[in-house]
Amino acid sequence: MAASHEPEATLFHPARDRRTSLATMVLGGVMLALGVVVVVQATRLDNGDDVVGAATAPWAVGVLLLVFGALMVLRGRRDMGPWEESTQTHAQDWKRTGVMVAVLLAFALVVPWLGYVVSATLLFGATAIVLGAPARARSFAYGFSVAVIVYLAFDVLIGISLPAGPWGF
Amino acid sequence: MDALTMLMDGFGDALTPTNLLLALFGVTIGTTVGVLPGIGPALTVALLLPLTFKLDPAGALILFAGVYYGGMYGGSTSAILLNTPGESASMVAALEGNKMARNGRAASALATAAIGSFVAGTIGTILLTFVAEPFAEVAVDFTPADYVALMAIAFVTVASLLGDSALKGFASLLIGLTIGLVGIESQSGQARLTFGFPTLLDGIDVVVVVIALFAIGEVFAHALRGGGGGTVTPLRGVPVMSREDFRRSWPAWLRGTAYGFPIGALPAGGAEIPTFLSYATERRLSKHKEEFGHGAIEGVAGPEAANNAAAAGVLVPLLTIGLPTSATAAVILTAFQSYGLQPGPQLFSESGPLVYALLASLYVGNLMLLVLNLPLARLWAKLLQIPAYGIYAGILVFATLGTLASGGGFADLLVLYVIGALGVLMAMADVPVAPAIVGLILGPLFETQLRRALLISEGDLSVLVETKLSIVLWVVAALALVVPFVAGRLRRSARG
Repeated sequence: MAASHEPEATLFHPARDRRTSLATMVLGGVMLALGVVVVVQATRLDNGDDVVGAATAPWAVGVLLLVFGALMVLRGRRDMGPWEESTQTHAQDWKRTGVMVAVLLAFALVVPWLGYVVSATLLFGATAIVLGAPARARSFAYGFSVAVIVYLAFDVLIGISLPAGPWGF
Repeated sequence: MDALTMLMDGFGDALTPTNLLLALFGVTIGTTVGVLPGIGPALTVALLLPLTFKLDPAGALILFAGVYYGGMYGGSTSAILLNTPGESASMVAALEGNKMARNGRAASALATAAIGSFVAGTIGTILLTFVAEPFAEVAVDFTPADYVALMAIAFVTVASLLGDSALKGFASLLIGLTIGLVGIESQSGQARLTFGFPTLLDGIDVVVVVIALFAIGEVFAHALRGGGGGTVTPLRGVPVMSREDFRRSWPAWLRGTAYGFPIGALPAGGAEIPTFLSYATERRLSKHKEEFGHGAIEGVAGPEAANNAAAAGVLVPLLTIGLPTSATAAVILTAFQSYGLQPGPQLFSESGPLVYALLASLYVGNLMLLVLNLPLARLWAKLLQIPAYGIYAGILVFATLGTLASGGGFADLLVLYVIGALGVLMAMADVPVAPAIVGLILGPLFETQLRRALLISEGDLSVLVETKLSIVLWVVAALALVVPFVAGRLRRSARG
């Protein structure tokens, strides 16, 4: 029985490598940190005379975060052992990710000044190039088409106003 | 018979030109996002939520229901042709469906998936029509304590059944519950987890969380995994089934429906379990066991039917008790709330015509989807030729759009990015996102019902197990917590 289940197992869990277990440990760490924050918050809230009040839910969630955060760290460590296969995230992947974060931050900064269409064109074009689009000019052209269609559909047709630049779109 | 008259009136509302157009728009968008990897129906409905400002409730809900059903059809197309399911419930269809496609039988695989989805979706919708109102009438008598226990079941099952590790499911649920805590606490007016930022006082918008966890997480995980995409198997001709295909498919469709609807309708949620059960059953019953693993048509027909029947089933707890058990259902719940409507037992008595218009639109949408998917299958297959960088760049544009469309500025975009970073970590750690969305939406409701129950009992905790129903529900919740754990242990020890 066990043998016949193998192909399914590999298909459904394609990400069984050390990077996944490392990410599990990091997420566990984040949950521990969140747990501390939520518990500290809980101590500062006032339940009044009630059994269940404003502080109850933060207490429960905070404590559970600490417990499950610790379990996640342990799970990550345990999986590190048997999951030998190691798909490295290469330096270029990190670089690409860094550039994409910068692009997103730049988008948030420029969108009130340049308006939606221009900013979204830049966001699409830059992201596509970072992710391996072969032709730069064409990426921005695609981005412009997507941005214009979105703007026409949402702003003009539906009437949900999107940030307008000095040129009104 | 009452349901039938109401349904006829519902068809009257659903068949107006505007609503027909909205349904067509919905199923088309739904199929598109179902086909494309990285975008799912939950994300799409979240992006379309601003439409609720402009459309009447019936129109908006018909549109969203179309996206929901359409996503299920589209997911199977990419599962079969690309082997990368567009949404998680199509994973099983990818097993046999992609093998069939590689053996040059893509057309049959797509046909059995589309027709099976239609059969199951229609049977599921019929069951939904006649089960929902009687169920709602029972649910009218539910006490706040019963709701507390019901939500406890939903928490446990959603966390332990979605994804492959219960621990990771609970981690996801807790992250959602934590995000749900942010904002002013409604009863005492105290601010929780706002850290003095005014943007956070109203809490974090569900749309922002859905977009951050699904879209941003997906895009960055793609970048960190080195990019790339799957291989698309070309599709020749129009999907058709031979007599033999049909003979082998129809029992699988019906069995899949029989698994899908009841399991979807339980407050246990998700379309994944019934698709797995259906696959296992078909493999056991098939006269062509040797074909399994190499492209057996029953292995596509059954799970696809189960998937669609479960999608209809999930609407039962959503409409009758206001309990969402999938990410898409959770987002649709917020659409109801933005109109001041609260799904639950009263929905049928207070907004009966709206509910039946929605149900009628599901029949119409299913028919549209069959027409869209069979003759136009090659068009959808073409969508898979869009290069990955284009899809992911587009997802980022739409992700930021969701925030801007709800009137957000720089601070709101930052909130999106920070939660997005959490989403990236979750995607990298193989942690399912759906429990977080369900936790985010059900957490505050759970708190409210708990408060309400204790207000009635003046703080006596025994009120939580006062009714027979609540005791039964707590036992079910406990079982749902223990059984998967024990089963996992047994499986592991059997393997070791």
